[in-house]
Amino acid sequence: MSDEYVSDAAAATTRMAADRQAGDERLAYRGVFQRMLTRPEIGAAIAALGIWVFFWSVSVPFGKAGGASSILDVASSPLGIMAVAVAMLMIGGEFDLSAGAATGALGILTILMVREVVGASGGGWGLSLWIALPLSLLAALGLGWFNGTVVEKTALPSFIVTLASFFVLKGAKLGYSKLILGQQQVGKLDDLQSVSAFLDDNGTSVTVFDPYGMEEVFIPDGQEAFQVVPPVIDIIEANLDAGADAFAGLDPSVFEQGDKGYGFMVDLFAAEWTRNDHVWDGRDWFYTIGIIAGLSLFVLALYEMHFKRSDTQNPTGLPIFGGGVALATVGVWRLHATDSVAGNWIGALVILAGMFVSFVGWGMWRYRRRASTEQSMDAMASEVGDAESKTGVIIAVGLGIAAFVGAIVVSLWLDAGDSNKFAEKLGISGVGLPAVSLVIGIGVATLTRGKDFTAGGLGWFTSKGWRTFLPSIIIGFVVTMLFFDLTTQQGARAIFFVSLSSLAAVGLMTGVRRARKHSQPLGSALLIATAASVAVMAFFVQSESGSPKFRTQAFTLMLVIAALMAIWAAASLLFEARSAPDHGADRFGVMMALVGSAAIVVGIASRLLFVTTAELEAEIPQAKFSVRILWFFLFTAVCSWVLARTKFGSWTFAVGGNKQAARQVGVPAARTKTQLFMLVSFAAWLVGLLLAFRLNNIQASTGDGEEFEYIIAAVVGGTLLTGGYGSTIGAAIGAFIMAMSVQGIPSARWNSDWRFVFVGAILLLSVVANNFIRTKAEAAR
Amino acid sequence: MKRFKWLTLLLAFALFAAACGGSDSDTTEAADDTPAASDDAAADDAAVEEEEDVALSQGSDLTFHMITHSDDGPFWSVVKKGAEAAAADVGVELVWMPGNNDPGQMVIDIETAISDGSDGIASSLPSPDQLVGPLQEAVAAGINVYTLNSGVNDYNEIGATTHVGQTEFIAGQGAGNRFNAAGATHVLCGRQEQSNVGLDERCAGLEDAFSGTVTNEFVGLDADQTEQINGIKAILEADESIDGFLGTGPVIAVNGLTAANDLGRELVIGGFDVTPDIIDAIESGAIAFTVDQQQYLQGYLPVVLMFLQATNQNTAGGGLPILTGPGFITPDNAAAVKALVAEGTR
Amino acid sequence: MSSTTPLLELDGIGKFYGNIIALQDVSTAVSAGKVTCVLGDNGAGKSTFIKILAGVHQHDAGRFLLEGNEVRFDSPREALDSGIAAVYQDLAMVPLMSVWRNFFLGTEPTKGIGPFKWIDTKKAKRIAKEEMAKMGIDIRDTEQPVGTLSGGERQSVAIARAVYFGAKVLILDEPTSALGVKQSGVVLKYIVEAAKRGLGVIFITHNPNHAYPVGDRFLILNRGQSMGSFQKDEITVTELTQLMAGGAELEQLQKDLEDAIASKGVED
Repeated sequence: MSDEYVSDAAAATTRMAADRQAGDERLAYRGVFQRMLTRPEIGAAIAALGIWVFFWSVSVPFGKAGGASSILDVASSPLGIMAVAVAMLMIGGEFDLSAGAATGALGILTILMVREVVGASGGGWGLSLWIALPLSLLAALGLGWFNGTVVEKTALPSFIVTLASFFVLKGAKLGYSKLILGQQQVGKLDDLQSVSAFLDDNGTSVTVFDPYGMEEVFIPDGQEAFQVVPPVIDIIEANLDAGADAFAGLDPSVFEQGDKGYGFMVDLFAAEWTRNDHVWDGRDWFYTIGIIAGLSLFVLALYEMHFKRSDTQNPTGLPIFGGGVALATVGVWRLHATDSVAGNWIGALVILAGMFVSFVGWGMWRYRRRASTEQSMDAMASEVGDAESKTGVIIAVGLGIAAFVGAIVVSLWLDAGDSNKFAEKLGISGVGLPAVSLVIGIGVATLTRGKDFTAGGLGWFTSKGWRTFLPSIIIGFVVTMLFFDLTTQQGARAIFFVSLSSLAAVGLMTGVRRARKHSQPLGSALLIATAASVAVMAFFVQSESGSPKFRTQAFTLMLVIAALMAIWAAASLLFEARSAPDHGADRFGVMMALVGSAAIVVGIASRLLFVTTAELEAEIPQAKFSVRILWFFLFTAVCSWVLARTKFGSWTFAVGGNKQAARQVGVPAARTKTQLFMLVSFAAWLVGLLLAFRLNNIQASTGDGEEFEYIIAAVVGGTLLTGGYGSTIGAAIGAFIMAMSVQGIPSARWNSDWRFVFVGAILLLSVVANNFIRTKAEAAR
Repeated sequence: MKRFKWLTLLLAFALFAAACGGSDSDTTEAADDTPAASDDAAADDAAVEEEEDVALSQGSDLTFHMITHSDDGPFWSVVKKGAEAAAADVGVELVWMPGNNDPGQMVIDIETAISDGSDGIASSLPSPDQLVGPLQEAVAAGINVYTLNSGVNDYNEIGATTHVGQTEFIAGQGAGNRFNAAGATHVLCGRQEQSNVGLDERCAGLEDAFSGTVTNEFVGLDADQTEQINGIKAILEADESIDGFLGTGPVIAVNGLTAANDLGRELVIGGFDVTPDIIDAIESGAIAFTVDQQQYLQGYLPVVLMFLQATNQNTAGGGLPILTGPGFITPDNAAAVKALVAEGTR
Repeated sequence: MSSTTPLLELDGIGKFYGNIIALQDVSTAVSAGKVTCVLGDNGAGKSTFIKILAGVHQHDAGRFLLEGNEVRFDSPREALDSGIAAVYQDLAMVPLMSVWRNFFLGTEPTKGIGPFKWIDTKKAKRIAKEEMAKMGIDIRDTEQPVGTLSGGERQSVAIARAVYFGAKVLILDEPTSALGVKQSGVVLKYIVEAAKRGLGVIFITHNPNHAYPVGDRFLILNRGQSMGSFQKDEITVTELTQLMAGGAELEQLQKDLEDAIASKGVED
């Protein structure tokens, strides 16, 4: 009996192993898009892109250098840096509600250490910044250590412990600054300087200490000591250890001239890049090439991850690829060399042709050709007969076309030149509002009760559909009323156009995806049709839009997207898709995608950071970029590396995901968590410092209540509230989403009273989108 | 490792303590330098107590009570200075009762003042619902009542002689006239709080008096100045026609200047209330003016009025409120005001 | 170590919580390459037994011999360092982390200089894949989160990890209790696999049908008492079952069951 059992079990496991070799039943092969979606930050990135496009279309500053600098500024510090640190802590399974208050507290502490004593409005201890920085850092780390240790030793929820820290900090900030200064703000870091000067024993040099550093100045022959003291000084406290007479002829005027020479520290924490000071006429060249090369690399990366590598590479593809690249370069040159409409068209067409040729060349070089088309046609014939899939394709494509037509109709109906409130156009007291809310009600009810609807026509209307229909109508009524009242016609037109064309794109792409599952040629044909409709849309935008931004930028972008879609469709027909993983190809693809993203980022950065002479002459508004942005990028990069590549990163995931298990295998859980708290307070210190260098006056209330924004940014970026999963890059993107929501409303000139409604809606939408994408991706695993 | 951690903590505490200690002695030193600062230090010490008797009267037996929602911040410390100065000038005893934004405490203070047989009560009215009743009792008890700072809508109902303060609407109108004079055509009225009636009234006053367009927006809290600066920038960028900015507080006004500088735009900028920052900016000409409530008057005048009513049966105001503002600080008087701010009377 | 000395030997082990006797007079031995099954119903003292072995608790009576030397572990880490690794049913893994990170958690291979050390991910992934392959599991993508693995595979990652990090004695706490029939079979195979590679395995279960095919020695616990330690040829699976539940009780249960079924038949 027992032997029998063993042999059965053995047979079973052998069978299972065999199954595995053939392709695991639970490990279905995931396509390239699905594989990308499993990263926690991808959902957030897509949401961020969507929000950007939305505000870009409805506001003036978005897409301009000034708008971009504002978004980067809000996103970077305090929000971004703190969101990244808080995301790390949340991945480690803890919260820090004192993080916001700590930013203000540490900034105030640093300032008070440096400021010198000048009566009631001054205050502070007059330390050198070189001493104050390490001291306040120590205090910051002490705060983090305290939070972490109390959480670990008492095993209380970090929520409670850090809430207590929050109140203590909040109170201390107010009480302390008022005790010292008699007011609720502590002034600025750099407006007061105490300077000490020491003459050395030989009388050959003077050592000058100011709050920003130490400098040794040699005294040339024939000069007195006072003559070499740098002219940077408002207040002198010359400490004359030796040779007091050397300073006897001190001329106060010497010390009030010149720049303040803050030096290294100011460069480090407060440097700014003023765009209008940097002219580069070749910028647009660089920009165009960067964008085109980047997009192309991105598409090639998708190729690499999507298509099957051929066993023998075909060398004739390479020269074709090179020729295409050369052709595209010529096209860019044509585009910039001429200024006429015809010239631009020729340039654009040459670029497109070049891209097409190079993509085909690349494909010929690397990938396996598709099996004969006849077979596919057969498959197509049989698959299209499959009723259910046919319905799916038809519904999706139909929805897409309807939205497409709707976008055009709505845009034609609304007059762009009119800046009246949308409500006036529609006549809110008339039929408009009830009609629109009825449509929304039916729409939502149909979406949520879709099965009932398709099953029996308007059957839902008599059944459970009512349950969703009535509330939907009410919500639709309220939403449309608010929306109509808030938006001008021009805004409404842009909003309708963007959302309907997005819907059209989603519908058509869904149709393409469903069709491709069964037949590649059908999918490709649909994709080409979609590309064509995007192109039609582009021309429509160009002819109809009242906004110059739309007529040029949106038009170009849409045409490029259409071209890339068409190229992709053609490539799908030519080459065979992969059905088994190929890690080598994936790695190469990821590398190409990264290089491509870098090219795009560099291209955009060049456009943001430099002006052309023409722009200067047109008196475009100035834009400033601060070193704070670099700190944010640096901090995010370091944290991401630590999280992904170090022991500490692994342990962070482990203590957040399953602390018991982590302990069991020897991870020092308590230490890891404490260090995470210290990381957060380090970030708060850095942010406090950046604020201290930036603001005219730090308020005692600085940062209070901001901690929830950090947490929200982290969650929007895909970090789980329960710990153990998340991404610092996601948190950084989350910070961008928050910044865009905050900046978008005033940029679009919407009523600021409604601001938090919009912020809330955007956050909800992005989290839902993020979650939806992730569950889709996880389900595919 | 563990020991090292404790050492770090100890060190941090030691440093912190040393730093605090150092600062205390610094303050004292500073206080020795200027008489105004030493007053301040004394006031700070005394402010710790719940109630404080400022025994300044010389020979007079009148006792006045000043009951406010004061938090002894920069604003109220000036009011207190004014009241003390007036008490000293006319020779009465003044009891300063700071409610610290707690109406419940103010009710208790009013009842205390009544039972102490006060000769005059001056009270602010942050929440009329709770305070009108007790003050009416005071009037019924035959005590002269004045309202100050807030309470312009309710002093008649109480039966108070008059109200001493500034109405935000009129202050806003004053700002509007300044923008008219400066030749602005489109002013952004930027608020630092979203639901503060006082700030809304400032903007409404501006809209009323200003001949051009007014855009009234909330642009971000003082607690997040990064967001505030960029909120202003967003609106300025979205609307090129804006050529004036009125910040409804001192911090936001200076941030409006930062935003304009960042964008390279030249705006006529005005603000409300006084801080060293905004005075510096006015002195340099970057900000055109700030609206000053002159809160010193809100402390000084009620005491003098109560004295005159008690000793000479004078009633000022003629049933209308007495306005302490708007006063304006402009490049012309900034230097003079700066010195007074340092002394704590502006 | 001679082949006759067992890897681990327990002689009259006992554990008391105050006046409650959790475990009394339990003796058994674990040899290299052999599987010792510890069987018992719920509350039989299995978890106390495993916690003593893994160093979570300390025994109050008897002798605990490791390779012939008497030992007493004060912490799980000490037991681990002596080569005794415990794999717990549900605490073993961090579900949201990838296979290779779980495999090396706590002892990640690093490269780099000074404080700038980073995980040698290539090496870690390669070793994780190889070690899993040695257990007969082909993990195609070691980046896969452990949570997406089946219960049996999760157990086997834990087993492979213990084996790789030099465990001599492997304690498996109820590895099959939460698994379906097929998955249990997989885990049983890995148990045999681990033993073949020279480890002493202690397999704790309440299912004699799982224990009997893989075990070489059986220790039966009931209410903290040892019901005896048997070689495979000394006992059948039926006897095992009876001993586990305390024979008489089971017979009574069987009778009750039969009665119940009979009465059900009448009703039908």
